Amino acid sequence: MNLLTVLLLFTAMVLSRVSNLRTAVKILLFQSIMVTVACLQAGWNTGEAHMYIAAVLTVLIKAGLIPFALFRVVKILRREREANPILGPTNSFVASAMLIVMAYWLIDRQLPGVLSRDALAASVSLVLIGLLLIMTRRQAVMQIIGLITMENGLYLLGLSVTMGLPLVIELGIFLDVLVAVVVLVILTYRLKLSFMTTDTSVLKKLKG
Amino acid sequence: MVAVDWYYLMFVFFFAGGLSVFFGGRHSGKINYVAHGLAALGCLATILCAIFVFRQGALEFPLPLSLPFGVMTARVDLLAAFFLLLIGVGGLAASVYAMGYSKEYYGNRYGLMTGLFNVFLLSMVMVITVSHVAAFVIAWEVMSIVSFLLVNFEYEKPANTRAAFVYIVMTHVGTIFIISAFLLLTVAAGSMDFIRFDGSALSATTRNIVFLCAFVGFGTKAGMIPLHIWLPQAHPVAPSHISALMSGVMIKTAIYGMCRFFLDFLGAGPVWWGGLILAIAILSCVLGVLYALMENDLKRLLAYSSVENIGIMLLGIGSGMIFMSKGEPLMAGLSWSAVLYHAFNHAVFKSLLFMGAGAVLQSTHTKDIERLGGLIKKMPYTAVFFLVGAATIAALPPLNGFISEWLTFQALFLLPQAVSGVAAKLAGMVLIALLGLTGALAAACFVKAFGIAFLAKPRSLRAENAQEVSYIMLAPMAGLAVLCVLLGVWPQGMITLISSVLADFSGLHAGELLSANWYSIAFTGANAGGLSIPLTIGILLIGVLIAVGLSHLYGSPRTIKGETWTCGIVPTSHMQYTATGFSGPIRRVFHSVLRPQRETIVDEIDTNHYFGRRLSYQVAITYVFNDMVYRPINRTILLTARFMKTIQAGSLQLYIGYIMAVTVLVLIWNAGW
Repeated sequence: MNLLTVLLLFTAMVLSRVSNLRTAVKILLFQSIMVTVACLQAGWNTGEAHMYIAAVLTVLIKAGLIPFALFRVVKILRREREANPILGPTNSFVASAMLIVMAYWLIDRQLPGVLSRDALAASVSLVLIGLLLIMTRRQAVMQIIGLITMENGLYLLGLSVTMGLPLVIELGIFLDVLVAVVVLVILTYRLKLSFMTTDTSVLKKLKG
Repeated sequence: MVAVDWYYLMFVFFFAGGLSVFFGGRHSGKINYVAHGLAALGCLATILCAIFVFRQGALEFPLPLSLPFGVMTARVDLLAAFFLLLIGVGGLAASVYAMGYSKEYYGNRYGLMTGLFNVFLLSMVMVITVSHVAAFVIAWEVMSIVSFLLVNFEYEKPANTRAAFVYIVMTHVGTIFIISAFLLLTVAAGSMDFIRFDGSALSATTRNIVFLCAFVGFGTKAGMIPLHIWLPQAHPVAPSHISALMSGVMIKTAIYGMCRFFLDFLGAGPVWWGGLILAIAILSCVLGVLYALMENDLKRLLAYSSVENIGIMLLGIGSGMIFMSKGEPLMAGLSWSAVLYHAFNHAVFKSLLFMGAGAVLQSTHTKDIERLGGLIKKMPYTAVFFLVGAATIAALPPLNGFISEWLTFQALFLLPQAVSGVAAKLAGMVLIALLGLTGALAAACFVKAFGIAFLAKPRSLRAENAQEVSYIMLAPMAGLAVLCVLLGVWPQGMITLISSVLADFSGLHAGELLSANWYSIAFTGANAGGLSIPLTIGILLIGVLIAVGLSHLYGSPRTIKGETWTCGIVPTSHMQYTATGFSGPIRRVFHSVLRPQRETIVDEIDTNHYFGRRLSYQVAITYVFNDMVYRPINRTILLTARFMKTIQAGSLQLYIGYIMAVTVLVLIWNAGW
């Protein structure tokens, strides 16, 4: 579990540095696979059969459909890259590190001596780093990636706290994420068509 | 049949009438008679319901509507019945009048107008009859919104939309206060039912807050100064039959609310309650009538005069509350009788006047008095009815306006005896003088309205081509005019009715208002006074007889028909007294209050060398409260909004940043910093 936690945090840290969209999607794919492995491990540890179903779904949706859709849209956005982020690579790297520190501090403070300390801290960090990504990146695709990172963090939180949520709730979450990403991908495509760019700062023009 | 049946029948009629909204602009001709006919029937049922309540006693029954706030009860006590009667009379006249008047609006959206008219009447009846906070607030809101839609009916004109917007904003500000007042009472009583409300159970501070909230809230709807700004804008732009209903009937629902709160819920309070009401009241009276006198728009003049009349009613309420807190039940009864009598009278004569103005508007298509004139020859019936209304509102005997203003005067005359302290006594006397001034200015105002609009020569082609309106419009005006006279020469019926209404409430006593003497109002007590109607009419008749006799004595009357002699030139309408000119002296006297701004444009080019020059003269008066209260508020709100706009920058990243900042802060906060 510890190795998985470290790898997940590592993907998040790397995500805060990349500016190439294609690379970012690849890292996201790797992150989702890590989450799947975590899910499988939780299933192995607890012996709950439905964890395996959840793992299969994770692979299908987070490592399959979503990256597929993102790769497709990235192919259309050949020229786009995160050229001018609000927080530069180094700054956002430092900010992510600080968020991880904060997450650990938070967990230690609120739940001292909890068993899955690292997993909890990692999941909180993932959520916060995801939010940071959405906040500091201008490219629509990078913001989608931030959203999925947040979602992965939440999923990990569910895994580490309760050893798996009921299947119905997990199904609902998967459907939500899927729909959200599909809608976002479509919107990104429309953005490209309407504004010739997927830089979301053009959306400022919408304000009257 | 009993009162409940009439109540439900009223509901059915109004509801069926309301269904005409679905017709849109189709079948206007049929919709007109069906929908307004249903409205008239509903009003008749309302009147009958009120009469049955008066005969059989208060009515109480659960309404077959379920709301998530407990059982809803309709309770028609005598106070509610009195206001039902008022709505019924005003509504009946307006419905019949609408059959003729609304023909102008045939076509697009016509069904909407007739349907909303019915819903408007229904909502007013509901406001009066429900006895449950949630139901009351809902009915009150429906009434406000429907009347907003009716004000905004001709939304093609930008001025109308603006007026409607001011109206909806002001009325909602008032509603906030009303809801606050109700909720404070609800919390104290532990129930939303009116009958459980008891002001004496509250602490003194809470009672004061409830009083202030109710006064401000209902005062906004009533249109008292300084919360009146919506009234002179909204009432004139609505179609005239709606104006009649709004000015004549709707603002009385606010008076009903005040009666309910001050008589029923709160009871006698500290003296300053009455004092505050009196101060606002006299302000409304004097400023209302001054603005009315300055106005050249016939309907806006009537709207300002509504402000003045609300002031007169508030004078009665204020003095009534002072008498109640001083423990003078008889004088309190007199004051409250004046309030209710004037409320009813105002409904009658203000509806009549708005209908007259509507008739003028329909046949000349202008409301500007400066462009009217000579209408008495073209529209003789309308002129007579308008004259009756104008004489009534100027409180001339023996019409009904005189009776209620006389009662108000009596209450004010007794006021200095009830209060203690030199300043308070002096203030009481100043009130009498100012009410006298109000009466005189009101008379001048309606001399202007009638004289300039109906007498002399037509000032424009439109006025020259005016024609008498249809009988269906004249009939309700005639009915209301007859009612004006009837309530004036025979006040007994109404006084008895009001005494029975007021008998329900503690702290006042109105039983002795009617003396045993024939046709008179008198009250016993230390300062017995009275008004004998036959005597008044007798004096009037003697005066007329003397005048006629003198004219016969000193010269034989001869009739010579011809143009007025104007030094050899043909008299034109330009030589006549103008409306602006008529109000000029008063503008000069009240210079410091009205602060008129004059602009004279002189055309130097000689178009006619005998006259030498052309003059264009414009005068605008300053509305003190708009400048002192509303402008600063507006400016502050705009500045705040501009400041808030910088937070709302439109940047996606910034918004997410807010979320992130809040999340992190909450997390840190939760961890116990």
